[in-house]
Amino acid sequence: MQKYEKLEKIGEGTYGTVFKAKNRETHEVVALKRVRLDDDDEGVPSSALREICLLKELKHKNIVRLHDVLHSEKKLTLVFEYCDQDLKKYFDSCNGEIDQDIVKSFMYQLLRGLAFCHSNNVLHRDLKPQNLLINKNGELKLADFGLARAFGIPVRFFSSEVVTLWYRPPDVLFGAKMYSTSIDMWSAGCIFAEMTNAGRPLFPGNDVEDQLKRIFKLLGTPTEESWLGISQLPEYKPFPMYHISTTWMQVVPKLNPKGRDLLQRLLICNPSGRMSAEEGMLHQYFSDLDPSIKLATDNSLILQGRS
Amino acid sequence: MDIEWWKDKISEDIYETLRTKEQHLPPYHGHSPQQWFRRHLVDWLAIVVETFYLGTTSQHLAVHLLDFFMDKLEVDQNHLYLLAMACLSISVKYEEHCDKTLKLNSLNHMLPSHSLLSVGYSAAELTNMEITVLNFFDWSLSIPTVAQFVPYFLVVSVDNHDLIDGQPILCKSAVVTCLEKHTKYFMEISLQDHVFRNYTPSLIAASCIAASRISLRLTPTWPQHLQLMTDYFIEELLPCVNIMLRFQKKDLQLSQCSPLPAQYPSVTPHHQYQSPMYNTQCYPPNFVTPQHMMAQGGKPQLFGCRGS
Repeated sequence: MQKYEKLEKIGEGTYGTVFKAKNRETHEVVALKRVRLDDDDEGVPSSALREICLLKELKHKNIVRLHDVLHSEKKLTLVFEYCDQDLKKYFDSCNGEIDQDIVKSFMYQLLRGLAFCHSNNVLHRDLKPQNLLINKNGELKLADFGLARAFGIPVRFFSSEVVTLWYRPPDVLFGAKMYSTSIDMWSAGCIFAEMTNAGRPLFPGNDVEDQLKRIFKLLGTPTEESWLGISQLPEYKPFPMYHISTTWMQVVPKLNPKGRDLLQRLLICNPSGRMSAEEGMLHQYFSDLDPSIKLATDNSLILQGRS
Repeated sequence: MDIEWWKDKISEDIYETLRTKEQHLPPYHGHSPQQWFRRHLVDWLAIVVETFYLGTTSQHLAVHLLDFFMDKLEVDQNHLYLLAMACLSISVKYEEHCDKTLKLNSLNHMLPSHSLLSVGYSAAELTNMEITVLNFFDWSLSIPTVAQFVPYFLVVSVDNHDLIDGQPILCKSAVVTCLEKHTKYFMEISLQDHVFRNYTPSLIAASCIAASRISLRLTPTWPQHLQLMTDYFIEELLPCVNIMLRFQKKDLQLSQCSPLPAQYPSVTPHHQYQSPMYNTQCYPPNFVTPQHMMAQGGKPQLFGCRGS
């Protein structure tokens, strides 16, 4: 690996170690993700294959850029743009205080990255603060597409074992195997609430049942009337009709009414009622967003053409 | 669960993306000096796909990778099956649930015994071939194929106003089941010969539906809603449909001439695809339910010989 000088280890991804490194020629700082090609009998790991294939297609300023893929004897090295930290670490540095304008900017960028993924038929499926990278310029980028997949048609059956528990929507918690972009929108809602509360997770469940209980205690238990077909979901089980004792004001005290409205449109139990990323970007909450953030320069939206 | 997914905005977007992307597929020349071996590989892939219950999207993607790779590069004769293996293995990892990922051992096990490869390939060989193929395609696997378009068209493939042999349809669901079988058969046909690379995937997908409707004697052959949905006039489809019907006719003749019992029709070096025939079960007056057809083993036998 002569081209890059390894600087320090920055973490472990879904499948391999990540290093900070410097290009010896250009001095550009990058992140290297190493994937070991063991002599096991499945060839290139499917998570690495998907991440590379999807990121090759997704060139956008709110999605971490994959510069290169290097292959040597026993490993693949993915060369990514370098970001200073992830959202989780950013929260840790906030000490419980976060500027609500930054929340607005991050949320807008999260929706814009998602809208781009979704318009390119890609579901991220594992959104959480650890997978959102932040750089010095206040840019937010979606990363870790190891669980992501392209979807040909929404009717296809996917695994329900996706998305870290706390960010998993009720339909997937009930075992739904047929989901679409709405899966990412729920996670985006959870992350939005977590951001405005400077890193306090919205639904930190211990297991599937506890997770659903926490959700229904805030949003009300859905019924066949509010969500047609809920009882047909593979792992559906009835939950009591909880008395809703907490208000949104209490849940997200720092968030203004427009922001609360956006949040409530994302956190809808019935997946078909959830707002899309594209709609979210047009929400009133962002009407006073710094125009420089809204401005997506044209060259950031280039979809890589295939040869 | 039967949701009307095709009315979704997202599925509409995906469809539009697929149609745009297919306009940018690279040209296919069919000049490979190893072209004569193509049919062996495609047939072998079909057997592997059937054995491991893989999806048609993986199968069609694998054949696409195989065709365009071979169109540009020549592979050592002993590595042609390795190439086919790598194409399928990549496609499955990209398209399907991770528990479908193919194991090298099971792939080696599927290799034809007469080949020079009695020992099979090593893990390192497979990995290297996968990476060679992935680099060749610049790791871009979001490629529109026939298998991605067919589900969209199937949704509108049979209409309540259709006539079958000039008579109104009595049981739409039985006709739909029959049509789906025929479509699956014509999708297989479209992989068998490289001549179909002259057409775009959506045109082939629409032709599969048209050929199926002709086989089932459904009229009108190409009603307006299908024309609107697919954006193709029947005149545009006919050249492709005619090739499909010729292949079908050949298959039917072969299966009728075969000296062997019907379930083992293939004695040719090629894998033989058995046409679903003119399934009388579809027609009035003696209608049967789809369940009944299943009970009778109504699944079209696409593969006569299991390559043993």
